[in-house]
Amino acid sequence: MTKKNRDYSFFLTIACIFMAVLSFYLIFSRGGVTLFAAILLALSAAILTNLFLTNWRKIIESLKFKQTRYALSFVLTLLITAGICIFVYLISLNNDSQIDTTPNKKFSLSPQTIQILENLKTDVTVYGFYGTYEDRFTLSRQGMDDILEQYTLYGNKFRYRLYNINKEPDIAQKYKISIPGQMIVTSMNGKGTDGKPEEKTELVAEISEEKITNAIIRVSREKAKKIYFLTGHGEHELISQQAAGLALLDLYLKNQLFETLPLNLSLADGIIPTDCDLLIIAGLKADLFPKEWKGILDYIKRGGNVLLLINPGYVDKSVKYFETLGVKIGRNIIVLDNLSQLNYMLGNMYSVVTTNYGDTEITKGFNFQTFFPTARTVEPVEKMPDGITANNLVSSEASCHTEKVEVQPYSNQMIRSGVSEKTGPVPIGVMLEINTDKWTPPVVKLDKQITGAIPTENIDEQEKRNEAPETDNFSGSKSPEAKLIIIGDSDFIINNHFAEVKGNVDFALNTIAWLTDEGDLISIRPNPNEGTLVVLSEKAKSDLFWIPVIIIPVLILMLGGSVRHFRKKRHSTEG
Amino acid sequence: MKNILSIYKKELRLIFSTWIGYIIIAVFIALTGYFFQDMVDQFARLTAQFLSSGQRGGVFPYNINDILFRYWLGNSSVILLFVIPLLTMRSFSEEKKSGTIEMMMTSPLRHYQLVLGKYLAILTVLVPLIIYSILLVIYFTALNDVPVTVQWGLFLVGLLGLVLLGGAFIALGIFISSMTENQIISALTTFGALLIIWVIGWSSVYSSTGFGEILRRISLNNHYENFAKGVISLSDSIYFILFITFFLILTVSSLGTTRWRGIK
Repeated sequence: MTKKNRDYSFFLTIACIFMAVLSFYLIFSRGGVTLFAAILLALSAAILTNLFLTNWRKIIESLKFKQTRYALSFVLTLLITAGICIFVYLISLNNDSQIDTTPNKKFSLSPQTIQILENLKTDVTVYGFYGTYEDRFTLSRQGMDDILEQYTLYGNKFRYRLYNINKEPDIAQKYKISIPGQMIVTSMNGKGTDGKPEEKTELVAEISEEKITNAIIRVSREKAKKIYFLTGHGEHELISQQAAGLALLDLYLKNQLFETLPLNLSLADGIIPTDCDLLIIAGLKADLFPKEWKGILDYIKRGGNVLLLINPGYVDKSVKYFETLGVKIGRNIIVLDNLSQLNYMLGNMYSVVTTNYGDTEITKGFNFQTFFPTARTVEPVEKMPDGITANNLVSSEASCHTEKVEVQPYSNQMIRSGVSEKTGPVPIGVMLEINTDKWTPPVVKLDKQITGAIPTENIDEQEKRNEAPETDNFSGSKSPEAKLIIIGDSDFIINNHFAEVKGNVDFALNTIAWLTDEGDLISIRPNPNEGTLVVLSEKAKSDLFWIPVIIIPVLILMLGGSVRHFRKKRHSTEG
Repeated sequence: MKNILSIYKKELRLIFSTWIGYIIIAVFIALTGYFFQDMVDQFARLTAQFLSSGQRGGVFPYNINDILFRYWLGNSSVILLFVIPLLTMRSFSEEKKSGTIEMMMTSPLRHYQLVLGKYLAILTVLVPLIIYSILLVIYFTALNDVPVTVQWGLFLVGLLGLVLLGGAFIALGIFISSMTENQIISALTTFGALLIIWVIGWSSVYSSTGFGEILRRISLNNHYENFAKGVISLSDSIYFILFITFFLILTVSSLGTTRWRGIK
């Protein structure tokens, strides 16, 4: 082989290595072999094989030189060292742990989120959107990157991409995003009309662990949770756009991928469907029939969850039904002692605006005002029935009292006594957790209106045997834990008031999330961080420029000059 | 240890007996000082906007510990990317060019002692830079009219990251310096190599999950980011230690090759 040919071989080898690296990059980056990558790889393999075949004698000859053997030994050392380093690094990755030195643990995910990520069964991708002309201290891009980066540390089903909303408008438009800082959580967990997998999406408008994790849960769960709204007793209508309707709440729930359905218990023979994840009774104006009450008790016994929102004055018999569960629902109305500006704006002397929440999973860290247009007291009784525990959810502020109230039978007008019964703060909402294994539902005699809370020991054995099978039919089909929340007002979720105060939306949605067994998510603590005000005088600004940028560097250079000068001088003296 | 110390002293004397050490420190200080002043100025403007918009009752969302220090440390790391090759370019290249490397090779000094001595000497140049960063933050808090709570733990973790990053840059730089006798080639190659390892993680978002993950794990910037945020992660720390160890071992091996080069 001539010298020219040898040079040619060298460059060919370099080109082959380059092509091979490029093809491997393409294969791995695209997640599969493309035609171009395959051609590149085949070409480089063919040329390298050809070079080897034409030069094999030379290669073997060169192995006889010490230099080649040393060079091979060097390469081997390099490969072994690299291998050991990669091995140690992989071990450290598998046993990774971190110390978050930020005071509010800003860069640590909660255990709930970690558990959810590690148990994800479907791939979840988050698309975050940021703007072009945002300030350099922008919170959206960095904020999204910071938090989403942590999500990638757990499990292998989560990934994210950040897009510039202006540079890639197609993707932003596809997901109907127009505001920087918003994210879309997606998974192929939905089902199209043809039964094929379909992308399920959920908008996250706030960069917070709680919101992102909630969205992940929603898109990754296999079926939508069903919420039934009881009808037939003058309740607020689910789809009604009227002031007293629930269309707005319905919209919020559907956005959170809940399925909402009306339920007329009388028509359903008093049986609540087995797929019911939550039964909402919002604004009863007529009493429940015993059969319906029996159906509700059966539902609770099999681990069902109920949200009862009950206005002052109405449905005394139904109130008695629910009181058998260990609560006292006041026959009263809460009246304000004086009208604050907010109360005046929102309503009247009955409009309770409060931030007085109990220490519960729902209201932990919750500090928005909730507005109850008219409310009655709801509180736990002193001696709770076996298996039921109660917690105070929300109370009024101190500047109010309660007065007895009655509803005129035909005019439906509320007449209050005008005499103060209790002074504030008074409880408005109670949450009950029912261990259905330990709890015995009160017996309902279907031929009469109500038996009330008949103690179990007073029921004769025959009656017990008659009643037991019906409730046991469902046992084991659901968790033995049932949840019930009773709030002495239903108007705070109606169209007219739902979005009037931010607290109403969050309070209602958090309550529903807890009742539908997504309560663990709302306990994720926020990571608030206090801002730092930087106030500098003009002189301070000037000092901050001149001293670090000009004076100190010049001094260092002068120091260098002096050192060199003295060294030169010393050398010349010594010389 | 004694040999390492003597090499260390010699190398340090060499750095500070010429202009190079002083110029590098002065340039680093001037640039980081400028970026710091510029960011503080932006922060002051954001504060002024916030206060003038009548949101005194609201919460000012920007925190210097989360944002200013983090961005500033990020900028400092980029400046290191430029200045470290200038420090490392002469470590072995000059010895090779002047022929003093042969004296060293024939002396009783072990290769690893030579490499460690030089490495530690260049690493020591980072010390005044770190001290300067701390003093600058103290000076800023003294100038600010409103009391500032500096989360020192978070800031020091960021500085630790900067030292580890600088250490990694130096390790790669002296390895490349050990392979060539041309200082310009050494500096440019070091800069190029560092830049590639620095930015390789950026393309991870355009790659498939597995490959993207590999790119992210290789990237120096990705590992440094956690330190800048105030998070010390075991894998990040191990990465830097392994990176430094790997290139120091390679440098030792590279010096070993000078003995058999030319042998047939």
